[in-house]
Amino acid sequence: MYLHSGSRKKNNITLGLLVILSIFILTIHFKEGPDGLLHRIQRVSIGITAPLQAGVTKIINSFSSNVNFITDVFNLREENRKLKKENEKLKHKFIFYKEIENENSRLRKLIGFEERLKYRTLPAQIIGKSSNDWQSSIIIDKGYADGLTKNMPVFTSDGLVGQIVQVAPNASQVQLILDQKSGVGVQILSTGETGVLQGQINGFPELEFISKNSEVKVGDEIVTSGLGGVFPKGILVGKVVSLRIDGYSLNKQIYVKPTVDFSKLGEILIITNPPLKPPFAGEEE
Amino acid sequence: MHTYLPSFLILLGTVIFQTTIAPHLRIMGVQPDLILILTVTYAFIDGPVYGSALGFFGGLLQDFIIARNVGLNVISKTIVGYIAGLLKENVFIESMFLPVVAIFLASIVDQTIYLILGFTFGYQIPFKNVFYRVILPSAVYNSIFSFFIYPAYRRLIAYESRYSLLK
Repeated sequence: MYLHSGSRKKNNITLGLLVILSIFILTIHFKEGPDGLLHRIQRVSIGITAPLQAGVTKIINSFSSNVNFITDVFNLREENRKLKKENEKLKHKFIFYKEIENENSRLRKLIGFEERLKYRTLPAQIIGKSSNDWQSSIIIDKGYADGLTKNMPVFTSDGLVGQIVQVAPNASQVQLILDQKSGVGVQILSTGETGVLQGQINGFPELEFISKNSEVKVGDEIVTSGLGGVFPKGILVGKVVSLRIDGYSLNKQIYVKPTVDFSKLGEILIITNPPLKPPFAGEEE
Repeated sequence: MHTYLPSFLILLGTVIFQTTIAPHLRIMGVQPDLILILTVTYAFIDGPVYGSALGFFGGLLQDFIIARNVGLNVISKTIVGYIAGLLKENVFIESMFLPVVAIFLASIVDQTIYLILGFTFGYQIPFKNVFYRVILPSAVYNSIFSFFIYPAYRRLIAYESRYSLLK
């Protein structure tokens, strides 16, 4: 055996003290509010390490963009052909949507409906990602010096990313919609039913509280419902990928594939004016 | 013996690597845990006290920089550092086989402790498939990754010890 009883006792005491201290830290962090000592230390740690993370991320990004440039050259001709074809299709679609937009605008005026809500956004770069397999969060290079606060929604052109949960002066932590502690008020576009999208470890969040009699189908689009006051209504979140009815459950078990590819996240946008006090068209963007 | 500053710098570098580069190495939903590999390597070389202390501070840094619940990684890494340190005199550190197996087992212990604590503090854990979907792939990935990173860490720590003794 490795240890004499004296040094084994000393080792056990060390382990005991460290474990007790760890449990103490865990409990305090869980119980204290966002202004508690450990939360403040966490914000300072995020702020201190952010420049280091930003530097490393910049190097990685420039490296991967060089690699992408080389592979892109080979794919250019094929891509060009596809884009021309797509451009033709889009031209037709544009004319069609323009007509719909005009009609929509006329109808809105007719019923006296307010113009579409507009939100101010701030772009940010991702400089760090969650360091284990159980939690899904990212660190971005903007903080309260840029006007960010807790709970601000984060998205990309593909859809919803998550919300800000910690803010340091020059960096913030964003909880992704994949995180098991994330819950987003959502709506099924085809049926209009609302539910809560709960993050799952497998990368496919579960849509909860949808009745087993719902007519939701695989492929249906899910958008934010605007309920809960954190996320504005109508941001694309994902598509239904699987449906199941469990024996005695009153609800359907529905899994959603997010439209955002979280493995390729680069630049994101933050909505800097919360949906609780929505600004309307005409406000400065 | 180690002075604490170089160990802290190695640890800080590892934590930065873990939060910036490791997520790009994600395969099938799992990524390598370099803080775990570093903790186990230190524990093999310096025993349970240094192993558990390094696990404690490694977990603390990891949690402070990116985790939602500070403390989960602290407990799991402290215990893993201690258990790995108990193997100190049984591991021939120049060999690769035993450290790789030990890192595989350490990964399972680390993830299991994290999972139990996470569940206690409100995480929804799909217990049914979690072993095959996360714990096992993660342990396999960590042990494969340790083939490359363990010798590098071992050399770095040996260099650091030599430097510390000279001081």
